[in-house]
Amino acid sequence: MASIQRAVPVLAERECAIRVTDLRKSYRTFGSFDSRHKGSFSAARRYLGKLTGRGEGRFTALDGVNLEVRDGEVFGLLGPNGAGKTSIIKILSTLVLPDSGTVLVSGIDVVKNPRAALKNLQSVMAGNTGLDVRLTGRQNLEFFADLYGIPREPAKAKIDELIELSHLQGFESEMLQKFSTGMTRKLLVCRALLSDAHILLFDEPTANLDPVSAAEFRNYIRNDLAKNRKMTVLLATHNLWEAEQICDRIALVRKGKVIMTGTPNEVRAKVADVVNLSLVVANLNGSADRLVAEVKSVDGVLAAEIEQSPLNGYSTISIEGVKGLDYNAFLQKIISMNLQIRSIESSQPSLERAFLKLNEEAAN
Amino acid sequence: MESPIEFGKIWALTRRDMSRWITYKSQVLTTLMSGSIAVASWGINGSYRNVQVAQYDCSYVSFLIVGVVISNLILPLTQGMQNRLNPWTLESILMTGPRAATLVLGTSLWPYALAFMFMIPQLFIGIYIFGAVLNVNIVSFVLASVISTMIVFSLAMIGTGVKIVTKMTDPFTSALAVAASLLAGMTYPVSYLNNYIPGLSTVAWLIPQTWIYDIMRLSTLTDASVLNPGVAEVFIGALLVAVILLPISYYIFNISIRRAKRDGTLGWM
Repeated sequence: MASIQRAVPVLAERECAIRVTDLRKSYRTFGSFDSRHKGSFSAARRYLGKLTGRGEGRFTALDGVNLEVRDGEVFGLLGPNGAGKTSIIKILSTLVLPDSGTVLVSGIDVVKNPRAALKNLQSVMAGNTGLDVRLTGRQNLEFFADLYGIPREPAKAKIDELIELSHLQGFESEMLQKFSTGMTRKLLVCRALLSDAHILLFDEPTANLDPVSAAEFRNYIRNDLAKNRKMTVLLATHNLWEAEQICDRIALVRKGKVIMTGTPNEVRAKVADVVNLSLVVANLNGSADRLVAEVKSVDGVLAAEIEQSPLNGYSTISIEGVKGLDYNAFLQKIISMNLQIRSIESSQPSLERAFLKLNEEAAN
Repeated sequence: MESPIEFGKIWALTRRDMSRWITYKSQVLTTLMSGSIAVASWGINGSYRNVQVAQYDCSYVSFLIVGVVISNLILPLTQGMQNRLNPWTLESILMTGPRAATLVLGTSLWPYALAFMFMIPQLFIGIYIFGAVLNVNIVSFVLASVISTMIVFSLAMIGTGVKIVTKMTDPFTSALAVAASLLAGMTYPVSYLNNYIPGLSTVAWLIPQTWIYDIMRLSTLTDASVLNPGVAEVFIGALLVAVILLPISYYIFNISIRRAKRDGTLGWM
């Protein structure tokens, strides 16, 4: 069942890859300079304030975030730009220090013991390659293998394995400047996997990739990393469709708060105040109006309409009803009319609609 | 207990810098040329003056050539580390969990090795074209090199730490470079400063580079043995500067990283 943000963790320690409790982070903001202040005493004062650190404001990026990511799942952090997704990823990656709260990676506190935490977790940032364009793909991986302290021979075997996993064979001896964005992104994953980390974080994994490369990369995350290698993946994205495609569970983040956590279906169901059904029936034989009238007479049905196909004689009846609509009632009416039901399909609201609605609720 | 110095990682960083550097063929040539031209121009300057430097009992051209070569050794290191620590690279490297010392040594070693290699043609020009005379005491020279390296690494670490926080500019290195160019005695003995303002040479000794110039010149120009009490005194002074600077710089580098992580600006530059 979907859950609104919880304060108390519920997963057992052994099945919890990442546990974030009451995480808070704010950043300093510096006053901006606009033309009204140009050349004035006020401008000088503001500039002095910027240099000395006085008169700064603070921007709250995370406001008590609680999260649990299960071992082996693909978990998505969804939210608009500025929601706090990257801050969560960077804190988990030990690149940003939180103001308060606890962040455990495989039970290790990332603030107290960052080096140990990094043995379990690595991240791949979209805008930040950290790779050297003047070196080949293999040289880059060898460099990071050395930094991870992997001896030369095992490192070579591992690099070969990762290059194969990432379908980069034949390109590894090319200089990185010849790599496409998609290939570079895969090389970054190879770099992260060198460490034997079993948790992988992605910040906007398919940003700047063309549709074909993006689809390929999503498949790579879902199948090669999560399914075959049994890795835990946490990804931050504002692409709802992407989250729906590859995530087992998602958390909706808004203004530094997690407003809901659950599977994509649970999130959609949470906001489904209407249900939509689509039935295909045969042998209607001129009783379309009667069928619509019968269906509409059922309690909770808001609208019904029929579309008949001239090709196969089948008719599709679309029904919109309130949440908790009694399906049996109108199915009995259809059966009593001696109509054959060929298919029934229930459609849920899209994740995008769910996200917008929850966002609106949180804002109110 | 884990070793505080991770040699494998230091070598990895050095090899990365080396592999990258050799791909820039024109840079190899221009670095070599600019260093040699600097030595040549100062060599002409020194030959023109043609005076003896009593303090080191050598010709001015010898004094000047050694000063310029040392300056060419210091500069790439203090600036080189900052240039190599790009923020995007820094984040990725920090994710591998290195110690601060590893990061600093690994990032500094190649520019330092390179500067050392370029010393050879520069000294060659100084000796064979401008007649500079070296009188090297090997033990003192090795000791002076070690102490100088410690001092320069410390300065590089402080400068890099400051730049990680201030981002665009490093006021520490800039201020120190200005002070050094004015007072550290690259082109004159610091005692000469007293002719302008009495006691100014004492201020010059507050600049770490002054110690480097002095111990390097003593060991390369005067065959000074560290067993000589007068020389030992200078070397102990320089060693003290290094021993004080090293932990301070390590601390500053670490708190700078921590500050940037707290501010969330580690990936900025």
